[in-house]
Order: sequence, then C-alpha cells, then structure tokens
Amino acid sequence: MASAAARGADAEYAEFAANRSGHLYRSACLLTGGDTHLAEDLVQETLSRMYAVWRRPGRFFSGRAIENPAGYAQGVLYRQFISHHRRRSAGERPIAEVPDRPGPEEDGTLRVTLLEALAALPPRDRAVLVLRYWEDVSVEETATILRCGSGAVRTRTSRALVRLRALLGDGLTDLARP
Amino acid sequence: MSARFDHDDAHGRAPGDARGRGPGQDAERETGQDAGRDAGRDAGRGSEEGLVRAFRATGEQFLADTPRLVEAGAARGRRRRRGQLSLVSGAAALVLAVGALTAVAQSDGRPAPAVGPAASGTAPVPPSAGASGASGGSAADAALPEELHTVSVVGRLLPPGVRILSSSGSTHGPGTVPAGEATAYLLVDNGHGRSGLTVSVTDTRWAERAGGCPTGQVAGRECHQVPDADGGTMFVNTWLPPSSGASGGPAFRDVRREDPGGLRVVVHSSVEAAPDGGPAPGPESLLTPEQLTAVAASPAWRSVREALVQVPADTRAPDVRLTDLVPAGLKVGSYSGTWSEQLVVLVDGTREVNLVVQVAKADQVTRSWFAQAPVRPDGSRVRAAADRPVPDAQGATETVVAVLRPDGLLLRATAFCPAGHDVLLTREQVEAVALSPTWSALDAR
Repeated sequence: MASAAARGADAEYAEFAANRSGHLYRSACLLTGGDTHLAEDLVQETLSRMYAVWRRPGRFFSGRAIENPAGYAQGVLYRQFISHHRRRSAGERPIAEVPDRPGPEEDGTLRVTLLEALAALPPRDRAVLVLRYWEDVSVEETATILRCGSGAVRTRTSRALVRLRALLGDGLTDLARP
Repeated sequence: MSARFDHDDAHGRAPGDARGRGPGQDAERETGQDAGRDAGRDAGRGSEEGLVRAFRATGEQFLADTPRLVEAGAARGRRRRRGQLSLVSGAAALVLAVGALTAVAQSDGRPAPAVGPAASGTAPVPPSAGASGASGGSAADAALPEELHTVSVVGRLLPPGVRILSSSGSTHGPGTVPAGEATAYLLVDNGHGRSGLTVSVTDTRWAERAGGCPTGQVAGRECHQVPDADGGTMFVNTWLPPSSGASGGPAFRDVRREDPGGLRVVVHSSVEAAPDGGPAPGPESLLTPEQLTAVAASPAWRSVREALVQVPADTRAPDVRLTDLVPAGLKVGSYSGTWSEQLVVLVDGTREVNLVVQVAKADQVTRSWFAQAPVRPDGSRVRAAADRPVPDAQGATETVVAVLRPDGLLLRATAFCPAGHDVLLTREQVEAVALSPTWSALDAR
C-alpha cells in the first residue's frame, strides 16, 4: 500500500511531467536532428530521473534540493543527449552538404532543412545552438547547463553558426524570413 | 493539487532558466558580445532573430505523445528506484554483516547500526480526479495527449501588439475528432478597437471550389489577385459596409491563399461591436491587408493541413441539443450545430465561454489512445484536461473531457476560457455535460 506522501509525490510528478514533456520533447527533436525515437527515449529517461527526484524526501538529489524542477529537467535532457553520443560515439552524422531541399509545394520544407543541418553538427555544437536559439537562454546559463565555461560556449556558438551557414547556404536566408 | 508547475506555454521555457537573455530577446547585445563575436558580426541582428524564428517554427511542429511519455517516465523511474533500493538493501546487508562481525570482534556492548531499506517505491500513480465513477488507469492514462491547436498557430503569427481577447478553434492530432477543416476564431484588439479574426484552413482537393476575383466592378467590394513567389495565389478582398458612410471605411477584409499543392488558407478580419453596446470601432481596428497576407502565407499552415482528413459534410440535425444540457445559472448567448458538432456561447453577466461538443465514430488510433484510460461503470472510458493552457493564445485555457463509449462513439466536450477571466465552466460542469445520460440517444451507426 502506498503511503499518502508517495501518492502525493506521484501525482505531483504526473502533473509536472504532463506540463513539461511537450517542451522537452520538442527540444529533444531539435537536438536529435528530428530523430523522434531517440527524442522520446531521451525525454523518458529525463522524466524517469524527475520521478526519482519526486520520490526523494525534500526532492534532494545529488546532495542538493531541486528548487526549479523544470530547469533541472532541462539540464538533465541536454546532458543526457551529450552523454548518449559520447557512449555510442555514433551520434554525429557527418555529411558534406545538406540534401536538396524539397520544392516549395512540399510540406515541412523548413523543418527538414534546419533539422538536417543540425544533425550534421557535432552533438555539443547542436546542444549549444538549441539552447541559445530555441530555449533562448544566455551564454552563462548555457555554460551552466552543459557544465563548461562561457568562453567555450561562445567559441562553439561561433563555430556552429559558421558550419550551419556553410551547410544551409542560401537556405539560411529563407529560414530567417519572418 | 496544490503545486502548480509551469505549463507548456507559448514557448514552454522553464521558470528561472535565464529567460529573456538569449538571442531571441536581446539580439543586439548578444550579437556583439555573446553569440560568437565573429559569426555574430556576419550574421547581424536580423539573422539572429531569424534563427530564433527558424528554431521556433521547426521545434513547434513536433507534437509529443504526452500520456505515453509521462507513464513511460514513471515506469522507468520506478525501475530505477527499485534498482537503487536493491543496491541500498545490498549495502545495508553488507553493513549489518560487517557490524555484526565488528560487534563480535569488539564485544564491547555497543549496539549495531540500524540500517533498513526506505519505503517501497512501487506505488502506482493514483487515478485522476474527476470523471466520477471511473476506475483504473493512472493520472497519465486519464490525461489528454498534446494536440495541435489552430488558435496556437494563429497566435504565433499575429503582428506584435495585437492582443487576444478571446479565442476558440479546432484541435487536431491523435484522439481528436477527424476534421476536413481547421478553424480558429479570435477576438483581438490592435490598439484601435476590437475586431474578429477568423482563420480557415482546408484542402482544395475536397473543399468547395472558391472563385477568383470578379471580372467586373462589384459595388462594395474591392478584389485583387496576386501571385506569390511559391506558385500560390493570394486573393485580397475588402468589403465596404452596405450603407456608405456608416463608418467611413471597410467593414471587413479577407485574404485567401491557395497553393498548387491544394492548401487553402482564408483569413478574415471584421469590425466587432463594443461589448457594452457602444459604437463599433472604426476600420482601423481591422488588421491590414499586409498583416492578413502575412498570416495566410505562413508555411506553418502546411503542418495543419497535414492533420486534416477528408470527412463528408454533415447536414444532419442533432439528436441531442447541447442547449438542453447547459448548467444552471448560465444563459445561452448563441447556438449552432449539426449532429457531429455543436457550439453554444454561454454568458454569465459580462463573462462568456464557448462550449463545443463534437461527436464522431472513433478510429483505431483513437481507440488505442483510450485503451488505458479509466473505465466508468457503463463501460465508457474518459480522458480529460482541466484548465489546460492553449499554447501561444496569450493566457487562454481550455477544459476538455473526451469520452469513448463502448459502442465506439467518441464524444468530446471543450470549454474555451479567455485569458484573464475566471473559469466560467468548471471541469465538473464540463464533465456533467459530456457524461450526461442524454447522449445515450445518439446512435453510433
């Protein structure tokens, strides 16, 4: 029989997860270059850790209280993504150039183009770009999430943008159109 | 529930996660200082903002299978916790054994350390609140999956400074009622007064044919037909009021865009009377032709069209009238409906709420969505979301109760609540409408 505290923790987890999983999933889809299976796996793993956080008295984890569960989950997701690629050493899909864009009459042009370009970047570069341009967080916060220095984030951002431009060519201009 | 967590709002950012300090919020500063100096100079502020737009447009096209993610996360979490507890138990046994050996060795009468496993971590997620009489299923099983809201797409495309006063519209995705048209109706204010904004998205392969601009002059109407760069055609209409001079300007404008792939988007802006019966605002309250054109031309509508399916037009009268199920204390402001969809605007003094009930035969995908949902004594299954924020709708929320009957009929009741208003219809009231025995008169055949 579950205790009242455990039931309460489960209910709070369910509410948190229901409210955050959509955004976590979209972030994961960008990180994985549109690999929705891997994105789901990353989000499930992130939520499983959040479940564990909720079952701990005072939401203590790694010796500290989790005061901002949404921010904590965000960090877990990005670090999961990077460690996944580090473990498998197969995450990078180096391609010389992005395949031809589908014609304007085809659906999802924007998505395919940016996702394919992202997938061609090294995982850490992808993470930096997604944090900066999707999550819209500062350099300092990006550094905190990825557990590196601000200088490294600036360097990676610069390098990743150059590569993104090289991959997308004129497509970047189209992407940037309001 | 006491704790409220940040919802997947307009962009779903986490609280306290350095909002407003990224390139999307401060492109100028970031371009020069943060976001890679060299690349930043090349890109310029416009490019930074464009990248933010591109990331958002790309990311927001993905829809999460929320209930499955929540439950799978919990299941993995339980396994993880069991594993940790096993490790703790193993460690505890080791400590006890070492302690016992130490005690034997020391024989000094000190008590052995008390070590035991923590409470079990395998408690199930409790059934969801509401849907009285339902049993089984977890909170995640009772939740509704994330859906594509037409209002959200419109909300993202609105020009800066345009405020949404109220909104309602279709939703699409697994578990929703199949639709051949996506619609949104918004009451907006651009700073010059209220106006109605209606959007319709459909596919010309099955939609009724729409004509072009008239060849001759038509009194009260100006029409321009403009080809666009993607091979589509934009029809821009301005309609003048019947009695000229009433307001000195157009009564409404609409823009229709059709592309060679069959996508048709119609955006319509009309003057709306003041709520207190005062004079209607002038034509400057309408969105401009350029603003309407920008909304209609957005590539975001392509993913909306993907969610549409061809369904036959429904001209049947309802077997059950939604107006007969209105909760006490609320008045019916307006009503329209067919067998498969009914809309009633309920008013309570100055507040109003749109309540929509849709009915359809559930397909296999929908039935699978409900497979784990709590079961009521009559065999129906219920999934619901209370006060769920509608993304990018500037604070609007909705309460949805979806019922899958044993005969395979899906009945879905949705109450739309504008931003900044108290909830006019509670979840219990929406449930009472959706679960009313009166609906048993509906024949699934």
